[in-house]
Amino acid sequence: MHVKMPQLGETVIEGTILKWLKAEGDQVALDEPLFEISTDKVDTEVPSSAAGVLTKILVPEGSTVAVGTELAEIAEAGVVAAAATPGESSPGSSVRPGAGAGDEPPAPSSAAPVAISVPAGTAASTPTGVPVDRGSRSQILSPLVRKLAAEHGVDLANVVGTGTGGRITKNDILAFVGRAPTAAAAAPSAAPVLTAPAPAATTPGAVPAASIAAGVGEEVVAMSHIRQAIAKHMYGSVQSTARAWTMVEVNVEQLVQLRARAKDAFLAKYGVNLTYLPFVVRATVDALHEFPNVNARLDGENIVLHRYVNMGIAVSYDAGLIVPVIKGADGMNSVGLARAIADLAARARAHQLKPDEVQGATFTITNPGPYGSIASVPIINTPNTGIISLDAITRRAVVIGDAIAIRSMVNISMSWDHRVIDGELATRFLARVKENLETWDFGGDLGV
Amino acid sequence: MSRAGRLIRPDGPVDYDAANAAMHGLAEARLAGTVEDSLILLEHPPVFTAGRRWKPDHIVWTQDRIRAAGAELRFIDRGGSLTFHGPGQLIGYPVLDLGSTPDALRFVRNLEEVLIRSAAEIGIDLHRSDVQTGVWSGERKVAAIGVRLMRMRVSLHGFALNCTTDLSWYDAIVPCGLAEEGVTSLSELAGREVSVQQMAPIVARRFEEVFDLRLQTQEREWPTHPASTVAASAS
Repeated sequence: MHVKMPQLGETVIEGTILKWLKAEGDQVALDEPLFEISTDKVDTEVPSSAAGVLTKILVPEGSTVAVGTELAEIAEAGVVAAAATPGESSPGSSVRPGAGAGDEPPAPSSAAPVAISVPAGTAASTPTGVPVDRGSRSQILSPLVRKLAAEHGVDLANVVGTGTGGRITKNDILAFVGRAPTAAAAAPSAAPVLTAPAPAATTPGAVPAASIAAGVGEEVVAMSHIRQAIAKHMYGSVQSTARAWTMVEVNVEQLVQLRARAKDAFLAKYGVNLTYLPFVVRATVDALHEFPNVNARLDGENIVLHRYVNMGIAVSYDAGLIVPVIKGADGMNSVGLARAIADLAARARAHQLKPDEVQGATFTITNPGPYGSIASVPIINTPNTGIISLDAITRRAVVIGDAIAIRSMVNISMSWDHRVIDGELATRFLARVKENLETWDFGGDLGV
Repeated sequence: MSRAGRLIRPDGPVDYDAANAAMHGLAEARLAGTVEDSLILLEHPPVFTAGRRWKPDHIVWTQDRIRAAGAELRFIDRGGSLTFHGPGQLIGYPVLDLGSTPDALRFVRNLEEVLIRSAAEIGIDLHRSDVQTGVWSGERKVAAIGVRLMRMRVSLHGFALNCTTDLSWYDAIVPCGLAEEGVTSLSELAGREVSVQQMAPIVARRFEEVFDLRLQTQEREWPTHPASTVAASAS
């Protein structure tokens, strides 16, 4: 179908395209924001009136055209195609592998709030209305369960046990009590068998929890669309990856001293604060080139290796979490990385990132250290195969030779997808990051 | 029969980022149909905001100087260019569902109408400009307007009416990208103090009249976003 410049009022005759929120070739869902236009002092997001693939953009950003002008074409597709994310959950989709260095990676972003299909894994336990064989041990009840059931007036014949052999547990009773009104209202005559709602039918957060009405002392806050996108993406990652975790301990005494010496001159010369993150990114980029399987993504039965590094940096901001991407991080020294990180983080917090700046990460670093954590287990930013966590640098007593010394130490850990990476690779990769950080002279890189 | 809406009128200045985030949250809820139309009336601590049409030469001061003066600079998603918000200025954020075929221009003209009628009530004659959005007295602007529609349906941002605003803040920018025209305030025009406290109920009433709404004041604290607590304790 043709996308046209909408009329935003009887007297409005033209509009300016401020920004395309989708690129040619992107999937567009019905009602998903497609572009932004400006008329006088009013900017508006225009939602797509069709689902499909944006095949052609006819009017570029910045152009002013009359109402009714054709702006783009959408090839309408089935509902299924509109929800799939290439390379992530649709093995059949074709994604061009082997993009050269500097090319835009063909995979869509994982960090952008795109539709991510989530496997409906949890709905299978108790199908609606089907009697469940509770097994021989189902009538063995703990005193606590009996007491709870009596207190709440629960008929145990109506409760499905999830414990060993179908035993009814304390949580089963509590869950039944919390959900009882809904179950009764939905099927008053049928046997009130407790069933978990299918995730697809619940909130877009896709967390298959039962809806329990808020009580006294509780407040219901609707999830923002960003919160929902984060929830979907995180849950989708946990559901679709074989996550394992490895940590190394790094002696950063030299780095701490270097930063203390150089930070004032660095700020004066480059206008940005010198943090530890650029050093860690630089050390990681080098290790990624040495171990390309860590800088990869899974596409069906193929592993796609990236010959470039686009480093995603997790940034928290008022709306939640966003992962802006340093494109071509392997072409930057520590100064370039420091600038890129400062710029992206500032604009992320100002809600000023462009859509392509949160897309195409090949690897991700999260940095909870400033908040004080000493070890974190991050969730992989799919379709990446690994994510590093930089935790807090602390002064610790360490054994060096036969002496005990006080050194600045940091734990650097990685969550990795065991479908692509094995323990040996993960550990050798992290050991390389550690070695780089402990032995490189970053001073020459800073130019101060 | 006018529709029911709610008036959100926080006490004291509200941090820009907190208010902006909460306003977007409210618009999401309006889009989802879980809340009614709202008008937020508040003041901000000093902040310069740059809409999508800002140009680098619209900022006169350096960002360092802006910060040194105790203000912030924010890049945001509304229409228009640069403007200033600060103490003594009544900010109005209408979060309204304008329906599936919104008339954006009419909405802006209606906001102007609200402010023109409000000023008339205290004896000040304001008018529209033929070419520029906003509310004017002669060649000087009294109220700036900048709006965004979420999903081409729900309004965000709104108007800023200078009551007792310290107008020297505008030296830092070229307001709305207009080099020739000046800015003024209701107090300057009246030759006496016309405060935000005085104007807020008048504007709320005129807003009800123009938009055919009946506003119920929300008693609950707003914004409830955690950022507001942080900002409040920091300021």
